[in-house]
Amino acid sequence: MTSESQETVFSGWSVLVIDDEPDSLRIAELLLKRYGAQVLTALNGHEGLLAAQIHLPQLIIADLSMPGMDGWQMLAALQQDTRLRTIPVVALTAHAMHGDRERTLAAGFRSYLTKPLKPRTFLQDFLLVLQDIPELSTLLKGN
Amino acid sequence: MDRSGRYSLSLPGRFNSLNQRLIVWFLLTALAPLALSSWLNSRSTYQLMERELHDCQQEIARLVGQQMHEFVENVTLNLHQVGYIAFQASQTLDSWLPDFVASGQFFRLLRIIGVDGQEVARVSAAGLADTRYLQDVSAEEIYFRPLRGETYFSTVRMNDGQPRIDIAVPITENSTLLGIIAAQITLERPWQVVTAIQLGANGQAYLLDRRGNLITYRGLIPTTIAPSFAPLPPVREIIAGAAESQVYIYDDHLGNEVLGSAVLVANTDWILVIERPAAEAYDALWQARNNELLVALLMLGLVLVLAWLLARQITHPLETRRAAARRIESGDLASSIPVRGADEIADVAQAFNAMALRLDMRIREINEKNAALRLATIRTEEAMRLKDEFLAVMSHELRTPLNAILGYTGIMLMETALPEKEQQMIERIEANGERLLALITEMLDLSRIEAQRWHIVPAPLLLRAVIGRLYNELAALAQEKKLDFTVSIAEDVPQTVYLDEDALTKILGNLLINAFKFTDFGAVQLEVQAQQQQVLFFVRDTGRGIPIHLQEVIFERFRQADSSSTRAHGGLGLGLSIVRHLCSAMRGSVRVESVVGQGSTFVVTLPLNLLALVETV
Repeated sequence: MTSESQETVFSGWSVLVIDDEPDSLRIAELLLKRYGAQVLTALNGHEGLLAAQIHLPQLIIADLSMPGMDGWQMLAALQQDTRLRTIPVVALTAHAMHGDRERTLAAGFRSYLTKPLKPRTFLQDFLLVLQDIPELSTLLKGN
Repeated sequence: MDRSGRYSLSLPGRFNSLNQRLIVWFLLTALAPLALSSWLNSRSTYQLMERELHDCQQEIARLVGQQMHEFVENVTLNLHQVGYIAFQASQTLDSWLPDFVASGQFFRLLRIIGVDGQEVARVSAAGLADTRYLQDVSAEEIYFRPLRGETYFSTVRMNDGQPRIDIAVPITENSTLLGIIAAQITLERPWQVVTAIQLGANGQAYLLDRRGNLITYRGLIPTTIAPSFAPLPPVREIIAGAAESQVYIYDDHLGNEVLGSAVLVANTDWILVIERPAAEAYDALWQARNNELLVALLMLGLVLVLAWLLARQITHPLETRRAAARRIESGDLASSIPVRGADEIADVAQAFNAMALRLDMRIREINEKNAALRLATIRTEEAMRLKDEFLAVMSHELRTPLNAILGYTGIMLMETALPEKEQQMIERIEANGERLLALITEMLDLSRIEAQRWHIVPAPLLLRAVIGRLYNELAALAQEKKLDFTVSIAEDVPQTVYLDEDALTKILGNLLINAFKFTDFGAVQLEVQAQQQQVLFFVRDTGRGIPIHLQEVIFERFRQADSSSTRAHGGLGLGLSIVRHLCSAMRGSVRVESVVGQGSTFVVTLPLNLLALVETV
């Protein structure tokens, strides 16, 4: 992949990122935008749920621990909604605690990303995550 | 409760034994001389009494023997006189001799024998016998014994229910033998004398002739069926020639044990035996001995009582003090032992009281200190909890802004539009940020291990997936340094291992990050092998290597192979220390093989199934 094609690898995608830490949220937004995605952001589960209902994003990336409605509760709420149920949700975990990975997958998250997101390896990491979500990886440019 | 119970059982036992020992010793002290003197006294008394008994026995025998002798002397003397008269007046025998016999006490039958052995006359109480009945006795002892000048005694025979004997004496005048006179004598008199002799309740006397045949016996025994008395020890002694025997103890012809002695009746062949049952004879002696024994027993009892009183005198105060000591032992330190008198036992009591007082004070002190310690412990625990909480919060709070800094700088650096100077400065910001993050992570890992908050939880792991994730995380580092990074997993390594994922990731991550840090050219390789029940991880690099003398040191805290490298490579040097901790926490080990200039290989050995290992323990 050339540097130019990298910058447009996610063009046309709409991704919703939910995180209560503004800087973390901002970095995720910047990185996704850098690779061409259209990014929506929310600071908690309620906002995220609302944004998802309005914009129907193709992918949701949600932090697990948030004040108010956390990642788990939000996922449960999404699964109650027939329109939103099909949107893949990726968990954003602060650090891999015991069983976190297994629990997230068991709860219905399609994959997970480890925080903090590292700009240098972000693309690689994200592509790995997409391998867990075959219906999205077909949308990738160049496939 | 149990403890004091055990003591209360054993202590009285020990005191009792002291009591018993004292009693035994007192008894020995008092009884040894007592027993010795009683024994000696009893023995000499017994011997004396026994000798007296024997003397008495012999004296009686002697006296009776004397009496018998006198009787025989008397008889022979009479016979001599009668014989002399008879030979002087042989023509008128019939006028007086029958009267003499009839009036006499002893003579039943008189026979006058001539020197030629022809009976001259035979006289009984009935009168002179007819000459037709006169016999020739020249071949008989009754004739030739007196002929030799001896007095003849026949054997005793029974006649009319009375023991009779023939006595014959020679009658001489001026040394010329006139003839022999023989008389049949009833032994009624000596028999009465002898049988009348009673020694004690059941003692008796009897006469024997020289051959040991019975002459007289209290119960009338026909001489023909009476046993020979010759084997009896005193009789044997007389037959052997003694005039008087010792006193013997032997079984008589009836089988009774008797005390007996014998004398030879002077001028006769008669043996006088005196016997009395030994039991009866010694009865007095044994009585005396029993009396002495009784006295000794009484004294023993007295001594026993005295010894017991004496022992009690000593142990009783000890026992009362022991009771007090027990109270002290059971915790009642305020109770004291009564002090009476000023003897050694009182000293002991005082020492006990002093000790109890000291103990009381010490225990109070200890209790106070314990309370203080408990308080301190609570405070310490609280402080530890606060510290952990603080660290957890700090971890999050420090990392959040740092992650933001690193995130933004990373994104900035990916922009190519920056001027070179700014680019360099932002790279420095990123490098320092990474270093700071590494420091914080190491510190937190170590504090988790130190506080034993790193709980190893073995769980089934898909080993290849875990290593794949690790590879993905670290591939960028390899790329940055342009190092060749490969992973190879042997086919026989099981799909699932049972380990703590967090710890395993940390171990391999730290080793690989170190490898990247210290390797400038070449390759870093992770190789996984299975061996028996273990899984082996080899982390190889082509770095500068570690000198032999430092190969152990690097696993210690805050140590790196080259102290100056800390600054160049970041971190506190805790990485390997954490690796070793986690390896041993999972029942495994880590070691290094290295040649300076060629590279290093870290070998981690872990059980394939920690879960099974933990469960079996």
